[in-house]
Amino acid sequence: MTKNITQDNLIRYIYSETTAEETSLIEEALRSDWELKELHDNLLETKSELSRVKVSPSQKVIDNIMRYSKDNAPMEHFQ
Amino acid sequence: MQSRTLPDDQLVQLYLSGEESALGELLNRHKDRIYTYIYLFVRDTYTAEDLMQETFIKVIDKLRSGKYKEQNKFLPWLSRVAYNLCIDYYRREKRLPKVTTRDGFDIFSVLKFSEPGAEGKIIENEFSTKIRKILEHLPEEQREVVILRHYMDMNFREIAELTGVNINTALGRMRYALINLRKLMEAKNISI
Repeated sequence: MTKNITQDNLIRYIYSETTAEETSLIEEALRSDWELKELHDNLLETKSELSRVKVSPSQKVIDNIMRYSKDNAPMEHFQ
Repeated sequence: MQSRTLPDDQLVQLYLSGEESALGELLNRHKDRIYTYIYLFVRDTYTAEDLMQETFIKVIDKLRSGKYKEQNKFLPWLSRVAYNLCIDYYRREKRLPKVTTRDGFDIFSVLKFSEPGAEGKIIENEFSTKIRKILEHLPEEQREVVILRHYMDMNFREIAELTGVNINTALGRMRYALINLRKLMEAKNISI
């Protein structure tokens, strides 16, 4: 694996937290280092799977929050 | 009012001026992200719904008492309120007595992972269920980084600050988490 590119840098890269300079260094390394590229692809794939997880609360929860807001609105909102 | 196109801070101002629908829009915009985070953190529907409510009630009270002073940082602020409530929940949980039967059966383990009733049913697709179950196999500190980075959208510096570790530790935990998750997904034959 390319010496200057640490695995932690690669993590920052796949989460778009590298500087422009770091990004270009990593992208250059990815073009020539198959081992780094393989690790990158695996990490990226797992990351994208995680991004698909979504859980929604029940409507009851939303209604309760809206009701709390209405029931506790400041007096001036009723004038 | 075209509230769907307004930034969060403008919706906050509208809400504070008495426009209740602005809160509805803020809720609609952020409910899934905040709820997914809380749910993955506590791993229980009833607790997650309670904490979700508690989070927004706290946010409403704080907004109305003028405690939101940041600019264009509504979501990170909201996330922090949710995070603190999750941490408080864990502190309270740790104090709960463990009720174990003679044959070593922990009653709370059944209560904790109870299924939602029809009224409190959550919406979750099959894929999310599988990944959520896999996340439960990760060590606590790795799971926390994944949840904070993916579902709270915090960067690694913010995660490091929040969890009291240095940034390299946070990055290392994420790296191990992704590697472990991939192995678990492959073992359970979940689409990669």
